[in-house]
Amino acid sequence: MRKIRSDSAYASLEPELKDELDEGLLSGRSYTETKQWLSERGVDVSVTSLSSYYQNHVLPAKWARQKTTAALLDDIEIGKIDAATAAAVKQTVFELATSSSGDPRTLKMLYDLVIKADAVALDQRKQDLLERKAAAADAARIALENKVNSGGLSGEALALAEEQLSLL
Amino acid sequence: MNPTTEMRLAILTDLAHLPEGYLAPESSVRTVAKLSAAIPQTATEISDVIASLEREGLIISQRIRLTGELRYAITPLGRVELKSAVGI
Repeated sequence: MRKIRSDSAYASLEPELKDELDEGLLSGRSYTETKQWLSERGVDVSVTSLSSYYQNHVLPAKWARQKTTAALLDDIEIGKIDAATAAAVKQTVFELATSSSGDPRTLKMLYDLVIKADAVALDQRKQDLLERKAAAADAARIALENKVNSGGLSGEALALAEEQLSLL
Repeated sequence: MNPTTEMRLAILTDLAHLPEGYLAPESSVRTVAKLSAAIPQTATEISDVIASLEREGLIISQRIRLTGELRYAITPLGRVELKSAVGI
């Protein structure tokens, strides 16, 4: 990425205005529209200089952000979530990072949170499943005892059934 | 260099900078093509260039099932084409 010349109109832009300028170009605002937009804010530039600014500064900065963000995301342990979910989340966060205002560290934090939330949801689903199995085992045990009490099942068969139920 | 060639090279160059395993949203590809030259390109011209790059096997697309949006990546053939064109 080339350094912006100190005498360039872009070098003297306020950081917030420069961020807005970059964001506008990255989101597809044309050079003519951007020229007009800057003019309304007291900055006069040519379409040719805007094109050079986009090619030599905005795009390389985007590529650098993408590289940094991908390195941070690829470094995260995905843990228990499935590969498809991890890929989808990673891609979404990565796209947010192409925005000039996207801070890779904030996005990494967001990604971490999503991963953790997903892991918690998975643990909750496991817990729910275990509770449903325990409830089913209790219901089966009561049904068996009722059957024995009514003389329909031997004590030996009951012991075997209870042993099997304890494995659930 | 004519606008079509400029758009082709701009798209290939941008996709070549994507980190491995990531894709570019269609909106980003269209913006890169649109701003590849000072002369504005129409949406149809941009669509034609993207379609021809895909037809030639230089880029590939993937549609996201949930949103229906397209994502793009450069192919090995696209990298060869880019290298021969600009020496990247």
